[in-house]
Amino acid sequence: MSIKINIPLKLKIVSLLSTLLLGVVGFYLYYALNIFKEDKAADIYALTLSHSQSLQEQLENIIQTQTSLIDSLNRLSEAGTNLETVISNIVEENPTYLHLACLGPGDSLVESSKKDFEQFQLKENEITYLQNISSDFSSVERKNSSSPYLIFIKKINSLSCKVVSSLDILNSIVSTNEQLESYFINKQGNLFYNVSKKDMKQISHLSKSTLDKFSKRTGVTKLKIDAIETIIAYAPLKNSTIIAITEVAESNAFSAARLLIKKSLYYGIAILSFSIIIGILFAQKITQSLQNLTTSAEIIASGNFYQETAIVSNDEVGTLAKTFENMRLKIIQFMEEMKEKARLENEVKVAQLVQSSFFPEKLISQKNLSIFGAYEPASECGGDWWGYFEQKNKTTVIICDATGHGVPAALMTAAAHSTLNNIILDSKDKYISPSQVLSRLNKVVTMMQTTVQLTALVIEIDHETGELKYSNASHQPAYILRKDQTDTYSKENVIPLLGENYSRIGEKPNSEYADQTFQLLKSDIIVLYTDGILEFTNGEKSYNQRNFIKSLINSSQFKDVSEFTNGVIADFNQFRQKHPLQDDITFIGIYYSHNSENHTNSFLPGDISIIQNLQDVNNLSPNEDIIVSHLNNKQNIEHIILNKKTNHLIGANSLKLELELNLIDLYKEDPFAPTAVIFYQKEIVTNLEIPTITNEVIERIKKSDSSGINLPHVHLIIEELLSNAFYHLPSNLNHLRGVEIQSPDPIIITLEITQDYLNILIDSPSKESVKEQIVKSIFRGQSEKSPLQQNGGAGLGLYLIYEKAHQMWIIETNDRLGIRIVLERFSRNLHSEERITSFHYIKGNHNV
Amino acid sequence: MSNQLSIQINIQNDTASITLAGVINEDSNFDKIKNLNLKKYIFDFDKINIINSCGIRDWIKYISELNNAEIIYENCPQIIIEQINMVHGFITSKTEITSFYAPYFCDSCDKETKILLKKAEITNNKAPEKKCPTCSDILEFDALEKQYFHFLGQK
Ligand SMILES: [Zn+2]
Repeated sequence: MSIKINIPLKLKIVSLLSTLLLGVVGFYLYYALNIFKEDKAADIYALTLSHSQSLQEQLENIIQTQTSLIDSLNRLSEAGTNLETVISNIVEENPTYLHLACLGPGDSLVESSKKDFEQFQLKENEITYLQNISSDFSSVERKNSSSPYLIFIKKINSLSCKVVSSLDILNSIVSTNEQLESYFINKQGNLFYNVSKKDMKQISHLSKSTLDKFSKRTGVTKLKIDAIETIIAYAPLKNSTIIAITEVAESNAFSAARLLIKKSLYYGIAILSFSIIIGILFAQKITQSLQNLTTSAEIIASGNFYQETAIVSNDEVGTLAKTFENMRLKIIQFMEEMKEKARLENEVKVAQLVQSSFFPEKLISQKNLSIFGAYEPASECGGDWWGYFEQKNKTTVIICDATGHGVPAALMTAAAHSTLNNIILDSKDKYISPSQVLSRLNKVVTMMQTTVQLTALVIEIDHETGELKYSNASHQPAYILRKDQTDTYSKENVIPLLGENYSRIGEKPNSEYADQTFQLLKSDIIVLYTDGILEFTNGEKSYNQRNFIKSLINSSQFKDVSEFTNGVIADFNQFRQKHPLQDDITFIGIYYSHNSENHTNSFLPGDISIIQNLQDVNNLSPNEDIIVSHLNNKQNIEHIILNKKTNHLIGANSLKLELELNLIDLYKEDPFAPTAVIFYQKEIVTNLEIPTITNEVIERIKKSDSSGINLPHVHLIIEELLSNAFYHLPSNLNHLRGVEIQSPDPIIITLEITQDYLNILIDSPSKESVKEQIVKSIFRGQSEKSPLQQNGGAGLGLYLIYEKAHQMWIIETNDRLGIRIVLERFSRNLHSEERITSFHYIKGNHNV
Repeated sequence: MSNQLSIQINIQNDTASITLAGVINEDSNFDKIKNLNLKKYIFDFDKINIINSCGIRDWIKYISELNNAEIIYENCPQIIIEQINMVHGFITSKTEITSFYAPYFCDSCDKETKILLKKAEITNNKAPEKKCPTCSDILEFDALEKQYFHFLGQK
């Protein structure tokens, strides 16, 4: 057996590990980098700020140097020194000074230029400018020409000086960070000096208001410049409009952070891959142990229990393997036990086989007697037993039931069996009666001194005379199923053999038993059984006496006793379903004098023909006056139409066939004479009285005993019969219904009621012979099942009556017509429906 | 027991609910429920005691005059069912018996009971299983099933 693995354990472990690691590393990276980024941002701000401050200081230092030079020139001039030589020396010695001019008191101008820079010699307007500046004035200015230069003007006390220097003077200013863009700009937005790149075209990105703000104090800010987030630090120079600026694109500033993220990611992936590999190896180790276990299980499943399970790990899987190994050992142990049990069961089977030899063959056939027994033990060895023996023309059957079952009960059956063997030997010399069988059995069992007791029933049947002798030691009574006059078995005709009941076998040594007798009739069925069948419960209900007797009646239809017994057992098994037996079951059916070829009802005189089927009708002699029919009502009416000689057709399932035959004799003698006490009689002269009379009759029947009589049918029959009688009066010329019809001679209704039937007679004046007319009317109704479409009667009345009646008698004399309807009492509507209606025709003289 | 047919009628929209009681015979007068020109007629037979042969003929004539109306019979007593089974024409393509009584027998109580069945409860002429109202045992159907349920196949 191989089961497909959808998601391997390996995959589960690896995905668990990866998810876990991915989560942890991811979270770490996110968290750490965020902190790093924040930290770095603070750094960048501080860095750019200090950088711009450094630039500011550097430029201020240069300006301070110039101021110091002019201060020393002023002091020399105040001391009366001629500045001419000093200035020319300064210009000559300092390579960056291109021109130096000083205007002293009394407008004495001293100036000196480097060679080729004579164009800087002061013009008239420049002299005037220097004359007019106030003391302590200073200015730094950059001039852009083909070669740019700086102009520094300063007045100390009465000395005003102008220094023109090349941009090289600013060379000492250095940026300490290459990544930062550094430059000086004035408040007007003109570039003063770009420290980072010598040429810098687009400085104008800073707006006027921004520069205004920058010129006021030192600071750092973030601005969007050409769609790039840029960090800008600014530091204005003192006493000047120049601002030192350091800027860096934010993205550049964080390039280091990005690098770190990238590197972390690579490390993360590396760690993850490493973990997955470790995971796979680890999972492999676990699944390997499980795989081993699976292999072991498969080996066991294939039937090899002797392969040891390898236990490799100390973890849960190892424990599982150990448990598995224990289970394997338990199975081996259990198998050994099973073998032993099977051996014991085999022995019990042998015992069962031995016990089964105590039973007779199932079917025993003798002249006039056939016996068929069924037996099923509740456990392997049962406590039920039955047997039989023969003496001349007598057969004796013994059935017994030991208390309990299993081995002690089985031993008891062995005792009963050997007792029977002894009896068979002894019976060759002398007759042994049922009670003697019980006495001998009692002696044997009491001698055995056991607590087990037996109930037993012994019956003896004389094949010739049908005399049944029986003796009962507290056993279930035998049942006799007897046919009634209609040749059928019914539950009303089940006779239990309830004679004296004697003590159980084994109860006391000196128990006395006696015989009782019962006369069997032809076709009787004798039933012997043990209580296991009656007391069986299928969890809900017990298979009680009612079910049992119903089953007996059901199975009594079978011709052979074997079918009968098997039928009863089949019914029982249907009730039992799959439930185990609680007690042994023994059932014995005995058919007495069943002659399968002859279905003749034992109560019928020999000269009456019986129609079983339509075939029989053809073989019937045409002169039959009385026949008994199994055909249906319609077939019977057809038969009566065709065979005019048939005056009496009796439904084969007539409840009281004898009585019906008796009525034929009585009515032949006097057709209108009552055969029982008259219950109701009335003369009617007009059809308007019909409803009143009908209701009166119904009420009267209700008040007496209406059991088994269908009152709506009585109502219908009387109403239809009376209407018909008035309608068909010889004096009636009116063929309309719903009109009053009067009868000159009264129509008489007479009811007789007995415990067997209700007999209704409508006696009316008549002139013609109406037998054929009536039969044909019934036939028409049966065939067409529809009313006549003319005025007058519906033409259905007689048909409806015939179908509901159990016997219909048509009685004719020269001037009267009598219709008698007999309704037999049926406790069940079904049986009433099934009753084949008898038809009788009597032609006689009215003896009044 | 009444000898007359009594008819109670209740009309709502196109439907007449008609309760019949007593006896349907040659004296029964259906004038009260004739020429109504409705789409649907529901007849309750619960209180009908007997329908005799002339009653059957008149009834068949009466319902044939209802033309194409839908006809429903309710609570038909056993005697009506028996008559319907014996005479054709009671049931047409436009009629339907929706509920009716049927005889059942309790073996334990040894008593007959009439049980009201719905048409839908019967398939293949098999009587539905019913329990005794007194002792709750399973009842036996107390008629020939094929014969009793014959009308369900008629049209
Ligand atoms: Zn009951």
